[in-house]
Amino acid sequence: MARYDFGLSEKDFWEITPKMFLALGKRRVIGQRYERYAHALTASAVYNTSRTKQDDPMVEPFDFVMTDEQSDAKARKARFTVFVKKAIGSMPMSTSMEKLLEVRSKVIKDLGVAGCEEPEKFFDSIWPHLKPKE
Amino acid sequence: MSKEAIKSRVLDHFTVEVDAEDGKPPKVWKLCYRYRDIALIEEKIGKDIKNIETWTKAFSSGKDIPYIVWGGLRKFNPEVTEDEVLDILNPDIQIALSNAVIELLFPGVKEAAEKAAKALDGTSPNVETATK
Repeated sequence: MARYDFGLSEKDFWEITPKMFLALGKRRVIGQRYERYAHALTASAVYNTSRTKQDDPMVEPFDFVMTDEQSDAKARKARFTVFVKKAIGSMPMSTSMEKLLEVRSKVIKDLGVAGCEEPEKFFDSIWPHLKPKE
Repeated sequence: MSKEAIKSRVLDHFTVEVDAEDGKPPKVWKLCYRYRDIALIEEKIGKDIKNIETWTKAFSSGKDIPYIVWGGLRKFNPEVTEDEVLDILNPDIQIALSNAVIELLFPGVKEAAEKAAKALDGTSPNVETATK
């Protein structure tokens, strides 16, 4: 990664610190955003001039480029997904439904504490068959 | 014309003031962890110090920390020997030293923690402890 993505020589790599490596990673993300924006200019122009109906929405180049907040939200969602899948997936096959529901409640509570909006809905989207029947 | 000093820091490091208690002025050690130094330390102690779990589980503070300090001195104080570090370090400062080293080795962790704290807007998700 250091050599290919950051263009560092072996000597350069050994001289940098983890913080510098992290900074290079952040700069790489910014570079990717600029590139994506450049492509998005073309994509949005093509799309907007090819609309067939007046009601078709217009798109803007920024619709194709994620903001920091969107990237963070995506990463957070991925982390929550792994957490929920692991919590239930690591239970033995013979686990009773009662126990699974108990784990479900605990996981939902933990998700809420960790900042997940609508934790119950999120959990049910991953394990829909564990949703208690009304 | 007014003069201003502009300070810049390229390599992230921290300093340790070593008082040998012999009446001489204290020495200042600058600790910095380049990947070169990290590799050297890992070779010495046989553990992966880039893995945060090593810091929570597998460390022997008496055996490993002095080598970690010695490795961090390779850039700015290469004259300091392993024996000298072993002589000077004492258990009292090991926690503070470990924390400072962790901050340099895992810069992303600190950032993530600060971001999370900001997101919580200063409010803790934990229930307040009863005091009465």
